[in-house]
Amino acid sequence: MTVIKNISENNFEQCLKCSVCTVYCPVLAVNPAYPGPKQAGPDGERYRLKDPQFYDEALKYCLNCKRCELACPSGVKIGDIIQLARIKYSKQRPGLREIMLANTDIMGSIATRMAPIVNTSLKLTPVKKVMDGVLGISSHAKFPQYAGERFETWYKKNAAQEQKQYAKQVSYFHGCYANYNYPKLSKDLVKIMNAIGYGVQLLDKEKCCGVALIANMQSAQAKKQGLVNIASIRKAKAEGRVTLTTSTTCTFTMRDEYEHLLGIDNHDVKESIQLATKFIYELIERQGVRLAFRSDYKKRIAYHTPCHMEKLGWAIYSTSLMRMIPGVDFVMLDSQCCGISGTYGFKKENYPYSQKIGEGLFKQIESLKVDLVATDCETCKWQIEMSTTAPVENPISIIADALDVEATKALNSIK
Amino acid sequence: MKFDTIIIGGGLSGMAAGISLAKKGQKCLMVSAGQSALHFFSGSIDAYGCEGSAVGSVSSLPSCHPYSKMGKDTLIELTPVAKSLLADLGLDFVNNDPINHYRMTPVGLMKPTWLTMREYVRGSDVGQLERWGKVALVGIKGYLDFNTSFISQNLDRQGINAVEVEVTTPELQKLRTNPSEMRSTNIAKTLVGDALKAFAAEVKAACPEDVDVYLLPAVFGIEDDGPVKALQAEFDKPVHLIATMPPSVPGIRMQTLMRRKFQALGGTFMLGDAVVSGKFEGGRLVSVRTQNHGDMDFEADNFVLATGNFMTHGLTSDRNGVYEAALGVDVDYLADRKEWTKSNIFDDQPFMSFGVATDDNLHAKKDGMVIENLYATGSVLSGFNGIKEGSSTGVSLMSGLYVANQITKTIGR
Repeated sequence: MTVIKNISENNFEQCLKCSVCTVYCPVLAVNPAYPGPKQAGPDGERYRLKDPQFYDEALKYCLNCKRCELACPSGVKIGDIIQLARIKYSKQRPGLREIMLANTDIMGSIATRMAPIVNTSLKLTPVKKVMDGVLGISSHAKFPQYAGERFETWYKKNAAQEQKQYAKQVSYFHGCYANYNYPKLSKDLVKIMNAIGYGVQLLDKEKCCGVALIANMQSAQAKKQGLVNIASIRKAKAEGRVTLTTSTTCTFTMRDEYEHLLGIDNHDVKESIQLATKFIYELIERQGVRLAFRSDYKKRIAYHTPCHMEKLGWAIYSTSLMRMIPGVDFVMLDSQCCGISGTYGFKKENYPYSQKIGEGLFKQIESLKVDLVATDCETCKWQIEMSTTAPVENPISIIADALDVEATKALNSIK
Repeated sequence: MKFDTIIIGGGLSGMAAGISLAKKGQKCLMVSAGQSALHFFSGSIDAYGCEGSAVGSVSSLPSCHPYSKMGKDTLIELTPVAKSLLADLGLDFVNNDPINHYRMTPVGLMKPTWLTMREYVRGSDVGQLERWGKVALVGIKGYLDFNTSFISQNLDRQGINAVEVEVTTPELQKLRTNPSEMRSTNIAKTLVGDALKAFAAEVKAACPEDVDVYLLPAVFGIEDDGPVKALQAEFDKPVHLIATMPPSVPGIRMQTLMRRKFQALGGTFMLGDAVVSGKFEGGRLVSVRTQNHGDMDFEADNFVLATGNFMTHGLTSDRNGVYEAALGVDVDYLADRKEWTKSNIFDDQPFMSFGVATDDNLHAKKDGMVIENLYATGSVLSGFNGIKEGSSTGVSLMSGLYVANQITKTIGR
């Protein structure tokens, strides 16, 4: 007997029309111009398959947060259906703004060289007005600061030689933010890994993961960069190194979006792209690695789960590590989108919606009176710092700050 | 990663078990593949859809029924536990114990039930509504999941003559920009604060002045019942709500409150992940693996399988058989596929009673062997047709509590 199996792409025929996805869409709740995940996703897909004319440019309002997919009881890849439709059918072409916002590598390389000038001018009212008026970048949005020295430059000058002495090695995909804007995060990872006996290597070639390119209609360029990254990660794997990451969005993009949206074959290296907190947690649980923390580190910390972390399902690793720090009074925030979604919230037309989406989160943060908010995504960090009074750190930085390096080395017999 | 109890499924049953165990200080993990059937909640918990006493009917049920397995005395013992669990969540349910009362369906019919949220329309005996006097039945313009003419026809049959009115406000009109998204939950998110006051003013303006009672769709208060109370405070006459077509706003409220409670008690909740396999050893389940966590083994002393039936993919089927999706435990079903269904859709459909095979303590079985630390609860269980009987929420709630009790008894043993 022949069994006919459902082979519809992204499981779209499994949609029962139950509408549960629409309940959890952060955009739909604030912007009625967005058709919502059900209409934009599986419902619209049936029409688009018949005639691409049914494509609705309002799909651009999708944040790609994937909260619809989390909510779906039938495993429909609603977010993927929407993003693939944008790639396949949208007639909009990226303008100067989309190119500037999305090419974080090029912008970062230029900006780090002129960091003091760039950082100052991005704060100037006339510059903001021009960006707002000419480019359509919201004058309310605060740009992240650029560092004077890239992580890669620092690493080659100060760390590369020393890393070779460790018996065990990992590679590190730092991403744009930890390279151009906040090298401290990368340095913090090196600090932790060294303390538990791992040397940290840069990848052969690292390009921006391309998440902003996908969101800004430049998926062909994203694919080019993705192929470079996967080749580098593959080479690291062949040489026996797992590739660690400190950004959930880069991680999610390289593990899932490369395959689902860009058609990059990454199945052989998917498991060697690991969020650093997950990797460290597993070392502790499986290999008896131990961390020693300073007794004078005392902080009340609230954790915000980035949407892509929620989709990866890995928040438990970051939160479990932070809970290991004796001086941390830990609070879990309700899981809700902060509204920024990478470059989305920087766009003038999205800015008010972006703020409205995050409103509940901002209120909860302010009400909890915490010293720090922890989150594994740099763009969530910008949004929360821009919209609340709380400073925000990556869990890796929190662990590094609380870590007693010498005691940790001693516990793990590292010289 | 090690837990005391791992609960597979995050609906009513899994939550009832999880909250009860977390309250006892257990370290719990809950894995939920998507949102639950509470999004289709009627506003009432049906114990058993009969006239008179639900618990009284237990002795007439077959021995394979989850209620028979739990036993009448245990169900009576668990009744106050169930009520206090709901009350602790801030959910205000009313009952007419030990006798069933009646709830109103979205088309205005009356069905027997056990517990109903206070704001809902209820009937006291044999399906008859209170004698209300002059009734206003209020619809919302463009909102298609609440059909006032069906309801008013059925009210008419019960001798109640309702005035149908339809209202809107500028805020609601904005929502209608997207006609397909004019849904209960979006309306609930809109109708808060000043927008709710403006809406109440429109309702008053649209209704005759001498109205004695207002009937409205249950589209208020997605996070808590604050907006329901705020709405009622705007009127000097009673305001009752009627269930709408899904998604159910009060159901989502209940789901959210339960999830928050579980997390506040220290429970770990993983949404959008699914258990894909389990490691069984010597009549015990040792650990499970999930979609998102690769080779990470989630270990626990006890496990609760609360994944629901076909609708939520706790059960799957193909032409050859019926399967339990997460762990591949034994399923009770009819071998002859022709007997799975009956041609009249309104008949008691046999496939609705298919489900996980358990012993009398709701331990699941694998390859015919009882798994002593794996319990099944709620709609994934075999031996009952929750829809036909009007018992699915009751079985879910009671079996969740029952299993939590069983597990608590094993602690320290």
